[in-house]
Amino acid sequence: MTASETQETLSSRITLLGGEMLNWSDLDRGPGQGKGPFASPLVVPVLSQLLNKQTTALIVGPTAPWLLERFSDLVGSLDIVVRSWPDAHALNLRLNGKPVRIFCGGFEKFAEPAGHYDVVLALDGIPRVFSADSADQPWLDTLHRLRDLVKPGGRLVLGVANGLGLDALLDADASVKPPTDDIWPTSSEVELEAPPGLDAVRAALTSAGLTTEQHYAVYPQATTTSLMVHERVLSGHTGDEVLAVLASSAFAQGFGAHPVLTDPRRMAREMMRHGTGLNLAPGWLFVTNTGTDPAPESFSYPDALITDNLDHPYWAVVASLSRDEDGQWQRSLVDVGRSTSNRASGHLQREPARLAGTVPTGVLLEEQFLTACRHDDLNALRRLVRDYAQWLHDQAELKPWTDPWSSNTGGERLVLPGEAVFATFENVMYDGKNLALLDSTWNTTLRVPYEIALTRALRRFGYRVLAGGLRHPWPSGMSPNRLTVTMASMVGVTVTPQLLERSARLEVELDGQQRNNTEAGDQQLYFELQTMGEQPMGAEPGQPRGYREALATVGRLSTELAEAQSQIVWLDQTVQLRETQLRKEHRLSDDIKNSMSFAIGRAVTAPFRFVFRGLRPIFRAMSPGAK
Amino acid sequence: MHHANHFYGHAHIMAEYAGLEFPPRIWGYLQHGWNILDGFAHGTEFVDGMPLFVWSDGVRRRGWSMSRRNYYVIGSPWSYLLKLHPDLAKPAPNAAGTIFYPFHGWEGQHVLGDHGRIVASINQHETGPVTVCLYWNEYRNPEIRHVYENAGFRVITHGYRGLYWRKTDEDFLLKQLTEVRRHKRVASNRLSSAVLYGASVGLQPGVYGDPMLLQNEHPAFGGQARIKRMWPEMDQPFVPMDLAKAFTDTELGNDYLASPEEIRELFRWEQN
Amino acid sequence: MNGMGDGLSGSEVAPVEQPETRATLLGAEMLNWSDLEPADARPAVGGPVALELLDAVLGEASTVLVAGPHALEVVERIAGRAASTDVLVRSFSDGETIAERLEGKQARVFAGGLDRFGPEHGRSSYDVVVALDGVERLVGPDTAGLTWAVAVQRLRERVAPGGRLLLGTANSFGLDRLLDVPRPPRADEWGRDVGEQAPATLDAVTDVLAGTGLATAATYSVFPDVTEPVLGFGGPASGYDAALVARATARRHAAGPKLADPYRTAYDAVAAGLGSALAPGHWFVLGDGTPLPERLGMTDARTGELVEERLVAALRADDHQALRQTVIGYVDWLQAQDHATAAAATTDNVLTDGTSYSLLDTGTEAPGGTHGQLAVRHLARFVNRAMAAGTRLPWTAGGTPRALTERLAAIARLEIDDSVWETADTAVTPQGHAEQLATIERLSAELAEARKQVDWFEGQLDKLRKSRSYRVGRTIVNPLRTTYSKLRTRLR
Repeated sequence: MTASETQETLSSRITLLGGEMLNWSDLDRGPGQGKGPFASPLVVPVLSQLLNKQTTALIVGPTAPWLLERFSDLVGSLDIVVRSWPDAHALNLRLNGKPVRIFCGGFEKFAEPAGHYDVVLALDGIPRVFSADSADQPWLDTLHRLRDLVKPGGRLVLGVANGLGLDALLDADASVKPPTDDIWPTSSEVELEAPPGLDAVRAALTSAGLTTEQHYAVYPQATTTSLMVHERVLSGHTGDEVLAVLASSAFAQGFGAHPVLTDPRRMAREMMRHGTGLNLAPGWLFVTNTGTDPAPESFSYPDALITDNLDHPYWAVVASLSRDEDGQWQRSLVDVGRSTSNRASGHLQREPARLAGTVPTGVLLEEQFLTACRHDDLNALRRLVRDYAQWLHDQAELKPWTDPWSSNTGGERLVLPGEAVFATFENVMYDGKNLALLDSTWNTTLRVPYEIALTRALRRFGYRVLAGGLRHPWPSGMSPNRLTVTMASMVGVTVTPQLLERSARLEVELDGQQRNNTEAGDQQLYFELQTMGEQPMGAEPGQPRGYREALATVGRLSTELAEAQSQIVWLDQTVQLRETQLRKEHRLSDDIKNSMSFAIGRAVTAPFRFVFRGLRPIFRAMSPGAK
Repeated sequence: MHHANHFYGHAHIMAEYAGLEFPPRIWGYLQHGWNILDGFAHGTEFVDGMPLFVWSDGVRRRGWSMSRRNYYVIGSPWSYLLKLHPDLAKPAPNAAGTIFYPFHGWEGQHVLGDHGRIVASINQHETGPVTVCLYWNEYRNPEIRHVYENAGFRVITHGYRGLYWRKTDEDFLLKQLTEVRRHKRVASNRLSSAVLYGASVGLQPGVYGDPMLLQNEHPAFGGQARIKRMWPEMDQPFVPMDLAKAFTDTELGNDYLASPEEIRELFRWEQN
Repeated sequence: MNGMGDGLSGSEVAPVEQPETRATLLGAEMLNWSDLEPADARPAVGGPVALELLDAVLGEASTVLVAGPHALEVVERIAGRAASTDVLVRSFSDGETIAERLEGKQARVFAGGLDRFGPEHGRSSYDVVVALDGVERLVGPDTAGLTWAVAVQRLRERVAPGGRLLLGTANSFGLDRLLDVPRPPRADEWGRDVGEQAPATLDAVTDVLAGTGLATAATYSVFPDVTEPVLGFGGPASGYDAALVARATARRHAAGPKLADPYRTAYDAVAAGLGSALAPGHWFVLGDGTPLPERLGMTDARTGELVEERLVAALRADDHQALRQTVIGYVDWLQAQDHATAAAATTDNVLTDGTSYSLLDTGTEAPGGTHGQLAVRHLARFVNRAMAAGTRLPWTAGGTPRALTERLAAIARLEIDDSVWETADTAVTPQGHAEQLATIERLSAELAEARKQVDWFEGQLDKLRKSRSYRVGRTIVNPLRTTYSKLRTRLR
């Protein structure tokens, strides 16, 4: 950016507060570089009710640009505080024409008068409103400052991350990787984070004079939220199956690619079943008011909100759920952007409208399988496989079919309807009598024979139970393929290598279409399915997988590091010695000036460098030993 | 090169403080001037994993956010100099007047005119005798020197070059100290190390006049505008002494000074 | 001891001949099974805290029912104090063992399932009903469908007016869940309905208990496990309590692979106020009566926090100033103490409020050495523990505690005597899997840096060598050569 560009943009809508971060972007963090901005679509239906064209709003903390755009369309005026200069610049461009003002710098320097805003939004929470230059501010003080900015009768919407939430307990990355650039050194005397535990947070809100109107728990992470559940649902400790399934799938999506210590789906499920969903939530979202005479309003705050495909938003669907007195859950679609419209890409289709209605009753089929496995109950397993296979079979029709992956001319095969292809165990509910798709929005135009679909479903389950190290009644050292063969034989289906191969191709087709895989990605998935399918998988009893290797690696790395450090010490001494000798004999030429002693001297601060840059010709002329 | 001088001066101070006769190589990188970024010049290449010794915690935090690691805050060499010469760490009994450090951005057609403007701004604010301290290369330019001399100011420079450069390098900060404490005020058209140093021994600091921005002052540094936003209280001709003290204590890292043993351990210096 | 059952009321079925046993067999008893000496199951509940609680509760109680697997010392303690004791266990052999032990006392033993413990067995009411093991182990596989709530009610019905019920519950999402590697189910975990187990949250449990009509006189969160707790406390916890829980947890989980560092996880959980939510189990005393201790197995709460925690907090925030101040304050204090105190004053055994310091407990062994040497050793121990817990480190640390210890010692102006490293310079190997992974990340990064440094230095040496080639001189070579060999032998 040239100086003139800076001047231009500065004159428009960006106010620099001081302490702006110049080499930093919250919006543009790559994977493994720390958390991205707050970006959940689920807040839109909840918060849109609070915002209208008369609203003066303030939003602080890193927030996704599309969300800011959405809010700016709803309100009369939106003030945005960001700490990153590149972000401020980018937002200024993106929000051109919207009624926004952008403030860039540390939040402690934000000087708008008290009682100025109808709504203050701090969705990302408090810690990230400060920059590396900000003096450490206690969380409580900032909470008070935010409260002060709200008009009497106005609202503060606050996100709070839970330091001991399930995501923190699970995430090997967070506890394992060295701290990222945004975890700069702070003072250990100042409480920069929210007080620990939900009770303490609630007490803090009350002591700040804030009344909580609504309170949601968010999953799987405070910044990337695909599930929000209202506190009223979680405080009744019913350990609901549907909540457990929702949480489990939210964590599966959020943590799918992460290295974790224990299976996130199991932990999420148990967290819900044990009624600890509120206390162990990764974060909470509070809608509060300043306590003075709340006007009676009829807003609706659903029991739960869910979305999926955060990584592939093209396919995402947003739904709200409510539970009736009988404990049955009803789903209805929510429109955020184009989330209610039908999608199609290649052979893959999604029809969101099919999500609306009652959530099927029963227990997740996969969970029933896992329970049977845990109890060594082969009888139960047999029964489940039979019921499932029968159900699939009943939906199939005899149709002409050609194998798309071979040149054989076709014949007739029992072919499943498109949506039944998606009836894998983690997407089916079973109440003992009826099986039903949990999410019936997916469809494909591919014609898939019954055996291939069955094989695929069984193998997916095989992977789940074996790769997850979960207990099962079969001999140890089973491979997913062998497990598939065994289970299929319970219903009289012979799984041949060709059938396995075709099911792998099917998996690749479906996965590739959804994730928009490249051809290389497709090939890799295919390869993995085929080779790993044959691998015997089994964890050693009593140890997490990789424990022994990890111990050994720690030892090996320690030794290597010690050796390298000894080497450095010797080299350092040698270099010093030689330099001293050569210096005594005035043998130091310009080449040597690059050695450590001199190199240090070169690391000079900016003002001198700038002052002398233009004068370099003089310098060179003047320095001894000039070339 | 000038910065090598600077380095020798600093390294000698640290060596004296740590009880050594002469400074061996420092295991790591030492911050040499007041810095509003990560402690070092933009684009400095470091050897991986080597420690970075900086003046203040703010530098460390900023540096961390810029992916730099291995910081150790030890305060400024100037602060160690003051510890070595506590009797010099206050204004001299007959201290009088102002010492002014002019900053000039670049060589161009208006050099002399710019220095003329600086003279005008000095006259606007200072009563009493004025010493102007120029960089040695400007000092050697008679035309520039005359601008200030003609205004009735005493013109000096801290750093000498020439045949004896090695010897004088070691003492240049001490020379700066002895000179600076002869005055009651220290001022410049930019907030800089020199102003910090003067303020740290009890001179009243002042920043006024045109900062003489460079044409392409790198925005990553943010430059003078950023400095003014960060520390608006220091951007005035007569900075209140309590503010000045708080600022210099923080930026010179006076709460972070290490013991001689620590310095030896940090720099990997054997006692010789 | 009477081997015959107490009458069969109005049954047309011919009486079953009872074998000669010391205990009364109720039916649904487990043969080939023992909870007192289990082969592959959880042992019976016991331990010092159990005894302490019982001493407080039993008081003037005359009639007691002990229901479920309790360790022999517990059963004997009760039988020794109560006027009459009835014991109900599910295991046949346990019943015999207990009966033999209690011979001569006013005691009866019943072996069988709780569902078979009818009105004709035992007393209709007792002053105290003890079920610290919970109710799940009052039945065997032959009993199905006895829900937890019903079982609790059955026991409650046997409590005399003004009497007490002691009930234990296990927390299925407690600390051990976060630490232990998931294992295959044991022999006693044959699988039940969800309703047969205690409800998962403390709130759910207290709701059911409220329905019994008995007031809850005390609730104890027990640590480090439900089988042999050594600590129990009710209220909010302090840094001191967190330290006690952490120690107990670390001792309990000392052997074997763990998912995470036991001491650190336990400390952080309790310090964050999650002690009750994450306790391995809870003990309830229902019914009013004699006053109960607030804390079991623990002395009164003390103020302050461990020096180690201050150091860890400074490391976590990367607050160098706090780190230096804490180290200096601690070492200065230590050097002014007598030798025994200084020897015992490891960083995890000294409480401080920032200005004053005190030992948590006095040590028994007194290793020798000067105060300075002791301080260095304590610092090395702290560094080792911090590294094993995967704590954030401010500087390149390497694989052993040495580098960081030397740094801290320099801050405290301590001389390091190299003899310390003879025993202490070994690679830090974390017990927790999470911490191992963290250490691998860190070491890999440091190794990469070290390699870059080696490359750079070798480059410098190259340049220096090349510059010498201009000179034909010999004088420089020899002195340097001998110096090199001296250097080589001196370096480690």
